[in-house]
Amino acid sequence: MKTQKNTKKLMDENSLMVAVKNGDLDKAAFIFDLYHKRLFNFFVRLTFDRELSHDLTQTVFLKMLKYRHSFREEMILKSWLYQIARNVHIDHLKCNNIRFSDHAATENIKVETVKEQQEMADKERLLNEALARLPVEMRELLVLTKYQCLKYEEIAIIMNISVANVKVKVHRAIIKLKELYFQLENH
Amino acid sequence: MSTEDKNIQLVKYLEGELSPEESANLESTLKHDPDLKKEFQELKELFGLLGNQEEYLPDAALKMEFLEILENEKARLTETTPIRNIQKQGFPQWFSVAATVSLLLIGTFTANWIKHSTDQQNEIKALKEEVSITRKLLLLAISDQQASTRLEAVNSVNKIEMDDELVISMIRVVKDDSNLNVKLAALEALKPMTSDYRVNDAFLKLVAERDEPLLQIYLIQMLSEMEDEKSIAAIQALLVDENTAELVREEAQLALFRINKTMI
Repeated sequence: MKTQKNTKKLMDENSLMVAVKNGDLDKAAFIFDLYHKRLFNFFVRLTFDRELSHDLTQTVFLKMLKYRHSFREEMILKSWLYQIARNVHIDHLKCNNIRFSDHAATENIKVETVKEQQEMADKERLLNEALARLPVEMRELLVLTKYQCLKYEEIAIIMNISVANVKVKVHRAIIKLKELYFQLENH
Repeated sequence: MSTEDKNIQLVKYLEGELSPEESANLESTLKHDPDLKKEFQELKELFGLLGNQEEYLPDAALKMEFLEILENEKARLTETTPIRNIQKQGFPQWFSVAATVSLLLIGTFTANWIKHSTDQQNEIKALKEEVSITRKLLLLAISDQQASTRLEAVNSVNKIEMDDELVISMIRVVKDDSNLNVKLAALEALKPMTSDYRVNDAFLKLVAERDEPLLQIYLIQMLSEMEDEKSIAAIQALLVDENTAELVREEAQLALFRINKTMI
């Protein structure tokens, strides 16, 4: 029953994008409402920078409008948007000479986030610091699975890899995160 | 089994990816292996933290900016280039060339002559379009679900000239918005419009409504600055009404005192 509902939801979302593709641009505002918070959170968890995340989120929707003609009905809007988001993030890393395998330096965490973190519990702050120290690809996988609650199958489509590969990578990322987290806690 | 493999088993267990048989084996090993149990406890703690997520809220400007981009894209789409079907009339080629040159000369002369005024007209047209789009965006934001978006929109209203639709929407905000801060901001935005009969009427009616004393106090202050008969009467009515809140009554007394003082 739940799967049926999810399928219907995805189809409804797809029909919104098909409408946008066919010139009904007002429907783009609905898609924005559905996804802007999720994508903004995706970027905040990846970059630890609210201002940058604001710009990156806007870029995703700009690209959605710009490349609307490339959307095909058999695609899934959610996966398509996350693919754009990933590419936007990768472009940002390239522009700033950051390698995808690099980890974020903790000094890159901007003031706004630090301020917000002050209100967080100590453990959550440590977790964010550990996440920031993870290589970008691992962080991205954990953000998608644990914060964005995407299924392995969905991530496999977004990353264009097999589901089995996604699982292996997520397991390794969790173990690495645990190491970093407890290193920080015992420091 | 290596330590890494054992750890991966633990992750799979916590993710619910192990079969019942594998889970039972692991649970049994955990009872006798303190190192593995420690790893398990640490992973469990991490999983608990990862599940405990706080959502970050983007600024309202993100939506405003996107809607503006969308409006621009829609405007770009509706711009159509008229395509003329030029039919060949069978004139000789020299005639066509001469006619083209003449037209070009006339065109250049005329273009230079009208360029200045056309530039100005285009500039005015563009500005008007921009204001119109801004108005539409504001109207949209004023009815947004999030109070912060509505507040931001209401605070931006004074940056443009208010048309009838915007004035009516702002009065509606003062009357019906669920957030007091948004109502007060709308009231402040309507302050320069008190000579408008619709704003005036709305203020006179709202000042008698007792649901929100703070709103009443703000309205008393505004009405007292107008110093006309109807406003004074509305403030006096609050003093007579025994159900008026004490704070509101004090403000009404003060307002009448100020008016009397300036009249003397």
